[in-house]
Amino acid sequence: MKLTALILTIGCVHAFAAGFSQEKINLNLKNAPLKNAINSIQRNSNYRFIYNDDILPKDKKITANFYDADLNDVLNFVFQSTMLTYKILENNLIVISSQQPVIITAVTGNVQLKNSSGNMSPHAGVSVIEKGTTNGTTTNESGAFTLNVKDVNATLVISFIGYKSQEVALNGRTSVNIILEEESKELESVVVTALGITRQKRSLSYAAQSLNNNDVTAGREVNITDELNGKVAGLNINKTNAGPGSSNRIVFRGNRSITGNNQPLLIVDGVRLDNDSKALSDVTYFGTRDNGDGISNINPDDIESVTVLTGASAAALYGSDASNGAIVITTKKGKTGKGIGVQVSSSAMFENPMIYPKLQNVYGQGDGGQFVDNSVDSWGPKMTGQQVTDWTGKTQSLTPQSNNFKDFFKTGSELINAIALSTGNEKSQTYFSYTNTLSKGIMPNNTFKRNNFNLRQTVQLTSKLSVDMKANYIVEDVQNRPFTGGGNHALVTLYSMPRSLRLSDIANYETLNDDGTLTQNYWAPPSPDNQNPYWSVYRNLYEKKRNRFIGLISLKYQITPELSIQGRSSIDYYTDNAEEKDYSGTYWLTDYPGQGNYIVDKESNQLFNNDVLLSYNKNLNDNFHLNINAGASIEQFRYERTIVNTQGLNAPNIFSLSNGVSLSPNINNYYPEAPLQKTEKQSVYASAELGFKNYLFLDLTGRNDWNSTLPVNNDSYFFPSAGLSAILSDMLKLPDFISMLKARASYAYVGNGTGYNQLKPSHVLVPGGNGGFLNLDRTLHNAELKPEQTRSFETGLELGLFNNRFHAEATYYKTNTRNQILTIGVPNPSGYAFRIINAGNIQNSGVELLMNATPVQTKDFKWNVNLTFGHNKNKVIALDSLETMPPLSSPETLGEIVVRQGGSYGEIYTSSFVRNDNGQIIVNDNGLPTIETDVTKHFAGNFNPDWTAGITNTFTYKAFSLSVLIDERKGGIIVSGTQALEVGNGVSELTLANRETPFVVPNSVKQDGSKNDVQVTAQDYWMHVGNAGGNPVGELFTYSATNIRMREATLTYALPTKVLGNAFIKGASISLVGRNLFFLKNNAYGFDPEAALGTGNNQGLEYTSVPSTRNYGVYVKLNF
Amino acid sequence: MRTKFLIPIYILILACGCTKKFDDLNTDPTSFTSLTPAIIPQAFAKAEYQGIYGDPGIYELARALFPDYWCQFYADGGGAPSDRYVIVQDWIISQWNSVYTITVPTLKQVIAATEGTDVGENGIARIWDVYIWHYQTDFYGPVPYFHAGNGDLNIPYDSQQDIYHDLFKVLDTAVNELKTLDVSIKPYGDNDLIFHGDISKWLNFANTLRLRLAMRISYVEPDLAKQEAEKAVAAGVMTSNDDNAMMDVQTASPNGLSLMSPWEGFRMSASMESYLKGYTDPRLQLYYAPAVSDGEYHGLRNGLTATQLTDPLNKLDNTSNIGDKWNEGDAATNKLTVMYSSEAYFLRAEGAVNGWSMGGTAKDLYEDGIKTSMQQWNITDNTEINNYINGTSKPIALNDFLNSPAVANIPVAFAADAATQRQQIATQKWIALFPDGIEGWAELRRTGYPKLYPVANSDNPDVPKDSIMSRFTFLDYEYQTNGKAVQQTGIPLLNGPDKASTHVWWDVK
Repeated sequence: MKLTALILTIGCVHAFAAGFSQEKINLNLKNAPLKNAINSIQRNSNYRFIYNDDILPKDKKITANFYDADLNDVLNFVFQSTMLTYKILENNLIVISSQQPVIITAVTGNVQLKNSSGNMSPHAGVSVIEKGTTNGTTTNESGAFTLNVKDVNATLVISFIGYKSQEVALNGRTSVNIILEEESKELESVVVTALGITRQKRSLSYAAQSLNNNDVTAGREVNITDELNGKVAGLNINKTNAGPGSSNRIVFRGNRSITGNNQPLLIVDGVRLDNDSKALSDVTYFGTRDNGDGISNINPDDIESVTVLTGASAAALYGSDASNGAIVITTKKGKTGKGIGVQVSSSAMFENPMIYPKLQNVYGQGDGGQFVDNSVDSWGPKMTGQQVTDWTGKTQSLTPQSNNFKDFFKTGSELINAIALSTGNEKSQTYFSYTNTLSKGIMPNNTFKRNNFNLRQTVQLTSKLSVDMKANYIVEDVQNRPFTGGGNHALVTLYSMPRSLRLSDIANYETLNDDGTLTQNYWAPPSPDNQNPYWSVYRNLYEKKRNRFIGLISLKYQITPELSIQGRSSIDYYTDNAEEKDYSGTYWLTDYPGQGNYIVDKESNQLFNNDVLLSYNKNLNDNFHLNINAGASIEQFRYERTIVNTQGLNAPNIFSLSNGVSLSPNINNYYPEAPLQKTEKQSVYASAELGFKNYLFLDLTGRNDWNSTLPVNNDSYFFPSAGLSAILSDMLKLPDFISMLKARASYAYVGNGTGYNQLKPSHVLVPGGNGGFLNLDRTLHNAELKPEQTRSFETGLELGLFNNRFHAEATYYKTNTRNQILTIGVPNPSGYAFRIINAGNIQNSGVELLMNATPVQTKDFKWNVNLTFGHNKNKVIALDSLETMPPLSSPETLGEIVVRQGGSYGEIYTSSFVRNDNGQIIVNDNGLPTIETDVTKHFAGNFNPDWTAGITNTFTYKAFSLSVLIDERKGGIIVSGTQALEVGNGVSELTLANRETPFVVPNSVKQDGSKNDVQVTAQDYWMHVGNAGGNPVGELFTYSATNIRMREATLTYALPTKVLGNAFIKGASISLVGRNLFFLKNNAYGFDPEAALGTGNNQGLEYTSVPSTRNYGVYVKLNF
Repeated sequence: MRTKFLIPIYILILACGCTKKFDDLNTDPTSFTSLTPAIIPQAFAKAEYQGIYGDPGIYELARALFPDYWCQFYADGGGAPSDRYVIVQDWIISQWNSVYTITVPTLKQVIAATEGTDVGENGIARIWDVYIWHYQTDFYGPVPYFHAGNGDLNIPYDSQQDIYHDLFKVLDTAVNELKTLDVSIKPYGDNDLIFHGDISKWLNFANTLRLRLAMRISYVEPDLAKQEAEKAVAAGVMTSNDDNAMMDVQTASPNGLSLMSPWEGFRMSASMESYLKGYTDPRLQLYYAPAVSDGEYHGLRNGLTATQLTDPLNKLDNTSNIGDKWNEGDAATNKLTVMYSSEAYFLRAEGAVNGWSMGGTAKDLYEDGIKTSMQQWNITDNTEINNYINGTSKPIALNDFLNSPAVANIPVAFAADAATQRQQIATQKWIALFPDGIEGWAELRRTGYPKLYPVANSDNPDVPKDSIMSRFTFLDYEYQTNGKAVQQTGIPLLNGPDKASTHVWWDVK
């Protein structure tokens, strides 16, 4: 019996694509054996035959000439005058059997599908066939089937795509229960690759990691990239902590571009999606208003699968930007089946800060050891409960307010309710989902609401023409998303406010004056740097509303069984409408003569893509298989932004533009960029995959882009890739315990353009003077820019042992990025602040490891271990004419990222103490350390980790499953601006020493080399070396970023079908979910070293960020 | 059915052929790639406003936090380290890039675009260029000058001597250009925020600027100084408050000092208190505001530590803020100071003491300087002014935190000996210059006057607390980006180490 799983698999795939239809058959044979006739029909149609070779009459020869004939006519002709009979099943399977006398016995049964995480569910359409016959049926929605067999000792063959087929000998039984196990994914799974082309994973010559819906929804995060941590090898994520739906910086295989984009492409259903976080990429420690990246808009529940392509080879066909890899998301489609499949899910997650700053609780408000009622510091007296008249005018006892930081935060919550409907017949399938997300951040007054609507319709219009349509509408409303750094006055104050300050006193944050203005209740003189934190969150309001429409229409025409053409059009359009309302009495609005301020910021982004793809897929002969894709596309991007600032308000707290003092487009003289930007990329591309005996594969791709952002002479660039993959286990005779051994290698060359309008100077008119000011462009442009190029090589091994109970995959890669388009600082006397150059050779090399093992597997219990590991080494081989690049950011004494030849990207240099040759600190006349402000004199470390790793243990016992993910980030540093702030204000625990007795700075000498005997007070010392001194000593505030954390734990109980019986509910599960639960190790001082100021390249610096949170909750899923 | 698929293919084929439109697509239609005649006035206006650091952000970082403290117009009530002589790199970088990446390139382009075609615009831009550059070199000493703004990446430093010599030449060129013009021509019109295109006022300003530059080099190149000073006075300098150079402000380009006045950084210095109270100077009430606590005027010693500032006497409520003229609400109307006519009289008075031909006696010019300053502040009662001019009272001792003795022992009444006269002229000029601390600091360095209290603490290891700051050191960012030029041309031209105690070229007294 040559019933191979492969044929069945292919058959099902094709059947699904084409639907059940009366396909017309061509058959042209001359005196051919019957087997040839069957093969010919298989090749030229979507039908697949299941039969036993032995039953075919050897002497039967057929001469036929059918054109566009009916299948039954052809089959009747082919099988005439034989003892054979055939039966056409659903899914285009044709079962051939020899005619035999019939004794009918009814066998009933139930089939459960068991997925990799051990969850069991019934499924309609599982095929049950009496072995050796055409007799078969499929299961219904509850997994039940009834089959009349001809032989009480028959064997049933139960099969379903993606699951291991099973043969069950009846041995006289009339009732059977069968569990089908999911096929180990790494082996036979199909992977969605570039341009939406589906390929068998075995044929890929590069690393591709697949995640299913469960992998990205288990943790119930709004932004699915949060769930990739520890599950994907070679990934590095930094979170902005800007409340619900905030952005993540994702970097695969290290940073390639010094000042450009290092984040991967985001591809959804074959089309690029805008993933810009709309936050300033080059942030100083003021941080930025994170507005959520594109991927955070994708509803996790709609995701069918995610393929993570960490390397350039994998993404080469996507063209520009592919050097950073790609995240390829496939969303759900409707499924064929009876009735409507309904899934309802509901989750409630809660969050609290997982880590707090280490604050002292001994000394109260004041300076110099004295209580000072309007001081911002905690250099006051020891808090012993003494009575003092404080800033409120009341006489209260001076006592530690140990929780005045902690209690400011609320318990955040996130309620996600989703319903998904799926229905379809052979011709048309529909998927609809609606998801509502209601979330509250831990910062007071920070809320997040989102509604996602998704409609997907796939229709087989004719036997050859199919259409796939998607409409995705997202409405999002975020109130008061916090700044990611010091721009958030609430947090700057909160981190540094006096330790004796009662939160209950400052909660009353305003007084209404007779003239309608408000006065802020604040304990110190007005300051542009600090405010009452409650005032900041309730009186400096910021609302951002996003409307996003993602539409896709794709038409596919099957010209011949081998050749198809697809035309596709997609649009990703979104508008962001933001309003900032600052009430009168806001301290930092010094630029506005009026009281308060009002800013309207409207922005729209449109990514419009049109492409055609021609696909040719043919078995050349028994050995060779050829797959060719060729296409062309136009991608157009349009960005528009209008900002209107009232420059103050005439009547207080009436937020309308017509109440503005003087309308102006600027915010604090910050001019974003051109108000209208348009870019376009035109491309042609082709790929060819040649397979030999399904064990050796050669991959070739080529693409040419024409990019509007480059000079006309340099705007065209070609990039090729080549790869080879060999399934050694199929080619050679290997010991039995090796179930799979694969070797692969690939090489790719990809290019990239730059941003809009980077070639010419652009001077802009702005308000000011008596008729406007002209602001000259401060960037020296380069009219002859060349495209960036990245060369990438990778090679890997995949190994499966013991029937793939152990599976491992290792990849080594090396990429070199040249001609980088960099915007770098230049000596100001040149007349410019920046210039744009093509330069450098940045090399990244490293390894990625993936391992999956099932050490224990019994009938009821299964233990699965999944391990990921990524190590990257970066080297700056050349910077062209530069040996050291000017700092990436505007110069900061605390710490700067400096790129130098021979170094590695991400090196941070900080200010430091001036020391003599013996390492002793040299002090000034006042006994305070002398500070070296030139940061290039002190190398602090690199912000990139040496390696990252994650380990997931999944235990399944009957209907319970427990999954625990622990990940580690090893190496790297982070400089804490928060700590520099806190020591200056005397709130950090570090400042407890020597509070009451002046001391001599340890290990120090005077300038003349003599012993230092000048005493300093703790306050003068810490103010001098912290932020307050103006030149904070970064050396003191540098921490290792190494940490190990309990990233995710989920406990799931799936109701067994037995319990549900034939009830209305077909499946139900409930999960307890915990994310980011605690640190097993953290070397940073009271903060999460993975917190990022923004998604740009300026990493490794932390400043008064929202604390990272611990999330926990419950997730219920019901299927009807 | 098949034709449907041909449509997208057809579109693609059509589109692929036309990448020529890329150039248009990639150009922002709302911006300018070069200075067209229509936008030259707006460019010049920007150079004027940026040139005196008008905007609050840059006013604070370039003026208030450094020269204004170092000449003790204010003391800081919040403990800013710059008041203890610390050059905070993250702050001063803004001054450096404001000059070199905004003001200088803008003026350079305006001068190039008007060369030979718009004589008036060209001449005025050159005068303003001189004003910018003398500020710049006075801060640091040697700075990139001749090769600045050319787009080079290694920009050599030039000696202050060469720069000053060239500034005189540029003034010659500018004055010669303007002299040929009919005064009815109004270059830049109202876009000129200082004189609205009034050529005669620009000529007065240029001559006064020449006089200022001449006096600056009077100790290091006395002959050239005399020649230039006499040339300036002969050509006509500013003489009345109508000639004052004041810059228009408005909501979008406000007076930065006014907007910052509510902050804690602008307490009357103890030195000012000692002088103004000692002389019963009527400008005291105009320059500063009474302390909130007792309605009296109290100064603050410069250079206090945060701990010292906690003493009740030093608290904000007990010290005087900057005066009501700099009310936050008037930021869009209170004009910015560029140069006062009173300064011209004090410069001439010093020239007369030097024996130069200044069109008057030292005493008359000294007294005219005081009178002009008083009148500028609407103090018009001649008796009051004359009483002040003839006053013999001296600065007083203070009942402050450090029990400061009298800061100096000279009266207002003009002395007979040249040495005292010089001190008196410098002291009165210092009072009259308020709030232009850049000039105040420069003249403090050149003359050594007025006598000021030492700072209470210096956190700058190179500058002891009883010394004054002599210059800004070369910036860390310059060492990082233009290091070769700093090492090979900047430091050798300095005649000393790159320290804040090293004197600039003209500071030889």
